[in-house]
Amino acid sequence: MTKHTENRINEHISHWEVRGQRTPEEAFALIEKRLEGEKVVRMRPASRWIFSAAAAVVLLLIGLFVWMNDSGEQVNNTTAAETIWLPDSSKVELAGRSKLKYRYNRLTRSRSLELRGEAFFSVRKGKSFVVGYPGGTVTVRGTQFGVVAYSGSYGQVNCVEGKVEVQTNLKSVVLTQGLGVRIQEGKLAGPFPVSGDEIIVRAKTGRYHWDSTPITDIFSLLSGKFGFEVKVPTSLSDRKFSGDLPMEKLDETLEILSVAMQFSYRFDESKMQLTLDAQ
Amino acid sequence: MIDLVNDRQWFKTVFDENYIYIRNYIYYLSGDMVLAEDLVQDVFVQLWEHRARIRHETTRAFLFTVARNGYFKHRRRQTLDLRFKNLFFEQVENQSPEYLLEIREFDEKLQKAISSLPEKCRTIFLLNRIDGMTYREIAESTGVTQKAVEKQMTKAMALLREQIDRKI
Repeated sequence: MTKHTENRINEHISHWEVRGQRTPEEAFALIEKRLEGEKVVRMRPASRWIFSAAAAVVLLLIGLFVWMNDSGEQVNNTTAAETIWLPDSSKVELAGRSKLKYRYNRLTRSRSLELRGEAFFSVRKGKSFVVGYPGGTVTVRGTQFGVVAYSGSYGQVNCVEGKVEVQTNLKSVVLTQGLGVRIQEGKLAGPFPVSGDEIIVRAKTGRYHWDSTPITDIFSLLSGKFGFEVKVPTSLSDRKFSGDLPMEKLDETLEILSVAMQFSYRFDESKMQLTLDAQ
Repeated sequence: MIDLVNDRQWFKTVFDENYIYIRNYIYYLSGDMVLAEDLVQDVFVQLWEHRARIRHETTRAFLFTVARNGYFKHRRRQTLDLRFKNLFFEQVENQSPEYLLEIREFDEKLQKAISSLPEKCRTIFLLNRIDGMTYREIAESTGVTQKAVEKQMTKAMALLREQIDRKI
């Protein structure tokens, strides 16, 4: 009986297996996840003070980094210009529909900015002051200048005081007082003489003065500023506009332009698309 | 210098070779699969953390030791209820219901009898019979002599026989 039972037990157990709830592959994946998340899981007491010291150093470095870098962002969604004082006491007149990001490094005293839109800068003398915009950068030291850069397709930099270096991917040019350049699709046009307060007046009043400017330039600026697509037909592209043009309200601007330049237009708001027809 | 790539390969190999043994070992001790699967994770994490100090030939013994110590921290005095999947029922064909019922009853009795074995006796017996570990392997892994393993095996079989015969 007992030998029979023993054989029966052995035979029976040979069919048994232990079933887990997860496969070895799933278990391994979980372990790997833990190992990645817990690189330092347990520490010997002797190394704890080293960890504490390292943590203090890291916190100090983070604090120092935060203190060193004074940064911020200013968005002007209104139609009127806003005056902004940067941490280094430089002054910016930021036009409506424009955005400016800035970072001031207290240690190196370098200032870097990113502009989408239009602004006039009165820069306090100091270390490098770099404005990035779609299509290039402007580097200056203590000066006054204006930048128009809503998009990469059209931009303008006017130097009012001091020296300004304008760089695009293809070329760079140094502007002195009273000179400006236009940037179209990465290409620089100019330098040409500009009126000292042109951009600041624009920024503050929303009125633009154009001298014999191709209509395509004006539409490039408008499309960047208001965020719509436009294709200027060839029959219109060689027409040039001269005079003052309010550019704060799109419908008002288009109305004036269409009468002055003799074209009709349709604006599809759902697609943000402007279609022009020469009359 | 730590060689992470080789360490990872070594770790995966050790895992593949030992995972089932260690998980089952904790299950034989505790009768709790959820606990076994949780603890086996801790065991391998500890292996990774101590990898620099572990000799190749003692890796399995290390795993069994960590598993045993891990289990004793969670140990609760309770009646064990070990459950084993009997593959016989998945493979069987054309058997009378009476025969199947008899097998099922025997299965039930044996599972209960094994659950009631003393801890050391039970784990050694199951590592041999279910996981196919040799007496020598069990001795090396659990830190007992081969003679002690043989003794526990004889004791386990005697206790099981006794219980089964009594119940039959």
